[in-house]
Amino acid sequence: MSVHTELSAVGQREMGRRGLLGLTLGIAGAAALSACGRGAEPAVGEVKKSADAAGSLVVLEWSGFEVPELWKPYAAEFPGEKPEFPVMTNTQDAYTKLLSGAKADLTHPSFADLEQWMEVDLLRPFDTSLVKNFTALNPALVKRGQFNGKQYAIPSDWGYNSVAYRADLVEVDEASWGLLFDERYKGKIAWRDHPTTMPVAAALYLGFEKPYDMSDAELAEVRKLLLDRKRLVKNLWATETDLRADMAAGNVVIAPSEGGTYVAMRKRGLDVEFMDPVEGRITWLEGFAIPAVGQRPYRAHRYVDAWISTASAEWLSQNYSYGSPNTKVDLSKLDAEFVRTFNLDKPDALDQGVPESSCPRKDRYVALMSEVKAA
Amino acid sequence: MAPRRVARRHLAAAPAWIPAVVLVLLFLVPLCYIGAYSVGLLRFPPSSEAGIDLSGWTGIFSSSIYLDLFLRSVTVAAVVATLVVGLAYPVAYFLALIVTKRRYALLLLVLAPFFTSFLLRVFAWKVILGANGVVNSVAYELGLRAEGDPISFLLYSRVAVIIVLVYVWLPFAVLPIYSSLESIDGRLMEAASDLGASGAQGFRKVTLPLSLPGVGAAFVLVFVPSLGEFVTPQLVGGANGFMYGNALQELFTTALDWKTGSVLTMFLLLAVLLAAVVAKTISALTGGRPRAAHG
Repeated sequence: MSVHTELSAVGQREMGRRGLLGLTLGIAGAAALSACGRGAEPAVGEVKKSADAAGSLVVLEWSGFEVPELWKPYAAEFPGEKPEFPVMTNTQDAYTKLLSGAKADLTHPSFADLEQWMEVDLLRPFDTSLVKNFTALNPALVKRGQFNGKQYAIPSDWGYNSVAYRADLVEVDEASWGLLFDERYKGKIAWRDHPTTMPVAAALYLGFEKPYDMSDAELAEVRKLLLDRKRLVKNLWATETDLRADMAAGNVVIAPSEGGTYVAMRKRGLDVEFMDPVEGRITWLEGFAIPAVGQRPYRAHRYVDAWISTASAEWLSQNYSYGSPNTKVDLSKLDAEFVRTFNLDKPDALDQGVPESSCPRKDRYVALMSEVKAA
Repeated sequence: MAPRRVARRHLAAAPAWIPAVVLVLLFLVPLCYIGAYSVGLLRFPPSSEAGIDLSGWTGIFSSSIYLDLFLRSVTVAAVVATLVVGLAYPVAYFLALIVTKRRYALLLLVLAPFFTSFLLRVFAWKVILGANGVVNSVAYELGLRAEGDPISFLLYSRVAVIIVLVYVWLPFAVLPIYSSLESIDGRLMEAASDLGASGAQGFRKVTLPLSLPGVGAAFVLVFVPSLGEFVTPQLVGGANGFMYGNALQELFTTALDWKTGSVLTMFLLLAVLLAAVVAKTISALTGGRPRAAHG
């Protein structure tokens, strides 16, 4: 039977179950083979403008960081081009997306997770000669993005995580992470839906030395505390928008928060405080990294240069109250209250707190939080 | 063979191939992938150590978390589907058998919520159900609650998940019930009436049995997606709203445990298939036709 008549015969009958099964297995097999072929490290050549692929720069970015004010010099250098900004909800989300084949030219991870990224060869190093403002950065922070003598990540912003609370509705006896577990505020507390935030908060409250690397016994105590105090919790917030809306509406009055969210709430006129707990605030550092699969490395370098420029850094600090590693930022232009609250004037601000760190047993933390949420 | 005839034969063969390819590409191939991840034939992150590993399957039965979550989700989905069908039936009945003018305009009204984004509709419910929301404000104005003591179970609770899911799925359920009611031959009701059946008897012995296929379809249409729902519980479920779908989403995106995630996915699929087979068997055994009215 010729191919044509066979096709026709199939068309005239119905496609048999065997045919369907064969087609399915054939396609799945071919796809699986191609998937196995992935993972090889792509060749990383010299960064040249002419070697960039056509099309817009793709930046896998946090929501809120896509605003043009943060990359004005890039817009001036590449008029008419508008970068694309697929959203990352957190560093783990970006990691998953890139690992499962998402194409991005640039992304914005937390430095705490960089080791995990390096283990799977997800990044390519920067050619810092293409980032003119690189020399203006705080050398201590720059160093944190270096691996094997190469610059795999360039710091761009830092800040604090702590407990935010409605000062008009909450009475604080002692500034402590323990406010998140306070019986007096049953039904008015929000926790964060995040793999490490609540285990770390509990660990700090319980006085553990290494909240990001707890022993089995410490994890068991944290589990006990979280499972017991979950009855006090109204919601687990996943996005900052949720938290802001709930605090404003009075649905919750206490929550773990990041500095920028606190600032946004203050600017909306809410009587909110950002605690400086006795156990210390959590400090974090983020920056840009170029995925190895990125197709526009030259423009990625130029975009980072624009982002860390003094003008962009000042806008960042003025509007989000995040710290910038750019040492030329004029602090007199910023709101004095926020400069004081976030230690923006202190070069060693990131050392004044509990640094967000890589979490070698993250799977245990994730499983713990799943159990708490499911309880 | 002349090229034109060959092309014509290809075209003749196409109709059977197109749906088959769509079915294979969009449903069966992804399922094969999930199946392969669930038994370790594929791994995430990609690894050269791939090989059969059934620990994910044994793990689900030894873990109380996932089975508890599954039962919780089945309960919520069953409650939602029952409420939705109960609310959708009178609406469909009204549209199919009572309204004569502007029927399609009214039907369009039922579908109106689809013209806005799903997320917007869910967020609107947060405004309605919140501590300072519409319901609490009205309750306060009517003296049903004291100042500073809002009705707290309305938002961030399982009740909130059920309320929002019922609202979201209601229009979907109206359509199949409407369709089955509209296709009932009006002469059957006339015959029932001529034979002395009251309106209620006619409904119970003629209309309801004949509309059961639509009711069943509506129930399944609501129950199945509610079972795997994760967005609504995340937005309005609060600390106690975590469901099976949330665990699935978390395993794939946060825990990066695609093996367990795939096992849970396959387990859900098998459970739904089993439920469908049971429902079909029951339907076949009971017939689904109206019984003769006696007396």
